[in-house]
Amino acid sequence: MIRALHTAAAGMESQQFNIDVIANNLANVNTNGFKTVRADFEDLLYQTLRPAGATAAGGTQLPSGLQVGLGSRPAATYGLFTTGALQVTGNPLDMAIEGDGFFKVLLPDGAIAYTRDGGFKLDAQGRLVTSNGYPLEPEIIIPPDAEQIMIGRDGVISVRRGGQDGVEEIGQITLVRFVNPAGLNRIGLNLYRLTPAAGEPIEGAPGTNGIGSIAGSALEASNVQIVDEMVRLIMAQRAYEVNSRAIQTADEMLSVAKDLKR
Amino acid sequence: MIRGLYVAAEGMAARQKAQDAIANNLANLNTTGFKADRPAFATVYERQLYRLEGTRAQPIGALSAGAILRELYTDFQQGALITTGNPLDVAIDGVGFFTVQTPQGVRYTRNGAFQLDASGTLLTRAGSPVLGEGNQPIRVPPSATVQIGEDGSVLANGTRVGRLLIVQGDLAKAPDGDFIGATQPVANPRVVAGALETSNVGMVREMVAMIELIRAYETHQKIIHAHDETLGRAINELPKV
Repeated sequence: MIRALHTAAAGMESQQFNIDVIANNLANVNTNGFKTVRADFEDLLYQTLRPAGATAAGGTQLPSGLQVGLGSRPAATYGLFTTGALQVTGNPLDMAIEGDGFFKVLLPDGAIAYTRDGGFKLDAQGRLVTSNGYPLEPEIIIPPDAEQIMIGRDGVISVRRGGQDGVEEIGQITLVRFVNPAGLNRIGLNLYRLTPAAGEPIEGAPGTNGIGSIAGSALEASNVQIVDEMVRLIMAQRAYEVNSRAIQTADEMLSVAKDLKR
Repeated sequence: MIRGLYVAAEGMAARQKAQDAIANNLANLNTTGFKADRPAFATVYERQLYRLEGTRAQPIGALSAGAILRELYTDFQQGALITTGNPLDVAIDGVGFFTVQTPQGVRYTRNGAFQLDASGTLLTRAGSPVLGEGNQPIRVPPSATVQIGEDGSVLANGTRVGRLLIVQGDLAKAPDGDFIGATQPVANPRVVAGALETSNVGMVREMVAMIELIRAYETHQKIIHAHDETLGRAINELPKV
């Protein structure tokens, strides 16, 4: 039967997937530390009706073949790890990473996860935890009598205790960077898990080893660019429509062929 | 039997194959670096007809046994470049192809959406190493910031670690969609970092081609009907005379 029907259907499925990805980006336009995702496509298999270099009648070699492609499919979803805009919040527990790197947090099951969302809170024990209550790793405990909390660009956290004049260092934040952050596995809740594709975690203090530094009292906004996403949405929708036209045309051809016999 | 019947049927079959190619172009409207396939039709079995006048043969003209889809050729025209801001996205402005080591052998592509793997090797989205000069994969140290220069050289923290092997030649599509063929390096390639080359499929062109195809298809159907009618008359009505 006519291949065009299935080829164009594969094209429509690709575009549907594209719109799924764009919709998720747009849904996360206000998610702190969110990194936009792009769907990349590749052409599917080519069917060779006649190979190039085949010998034609009379002994001449055919310079080109007759190959027809069978559509497209999603090749990868690729996270774009550019830094989002920093927003000053004034909250002393908010942190943003300027440059590469992730905060390391401990999940309840003992596993490690990574995040760019630096909107930390205090839990009942005075630990710095994410919005979902997962503590920073290594743990940082703010003493209960702390009156003022200061976070340096190098991640050193100092506090001034009530009734005292001097400040006291209570710990330093460790950040982790990866050769290929796009290889991390997204598990939701702004968290990433390690995969072999991401490479060995490179741990260190902020500002060393190519790791970004910490901006205190600020949050990193989502790096989703609404205009870019809208343009991609338009492209995806039009591509979807035009593929449906290819199906219509193939259908019309079949109907014409059907009417050959009266 | 009537020749025209077969000529028209051949024409319909050829146009159906061409529609397959157009559908594939449209399905790859959003495939980075995709190059459109275009149908080329050709007449077949052309022969010269003669009229006998006494003992002399008087030429009448050529008669073909119809048109076939001779080839699907690739349109190598450059697609539009769009900026992405990702330093590992590169596009070639002008001639040339990136060289990639796939499990099936060396392939060439215009898709410059690259990524790094755990060891710092530059890969395509499909996970195949991108080759640099000397046919070697390009590796960057783990904690380096990668930049790609206008001549295709790859810099890690400002130090040159290799140069993308950009080639040109007589290339055709392999079954996996990448290109294959004999190549030689491009002397002065121009590489744009932070950009990708979009598919070169033009929606308007494909729509027009599709309209043209379907109308030609319908016309051939009408020709078959006309022949059918002629035959019907010959069979059913001539004996009545």
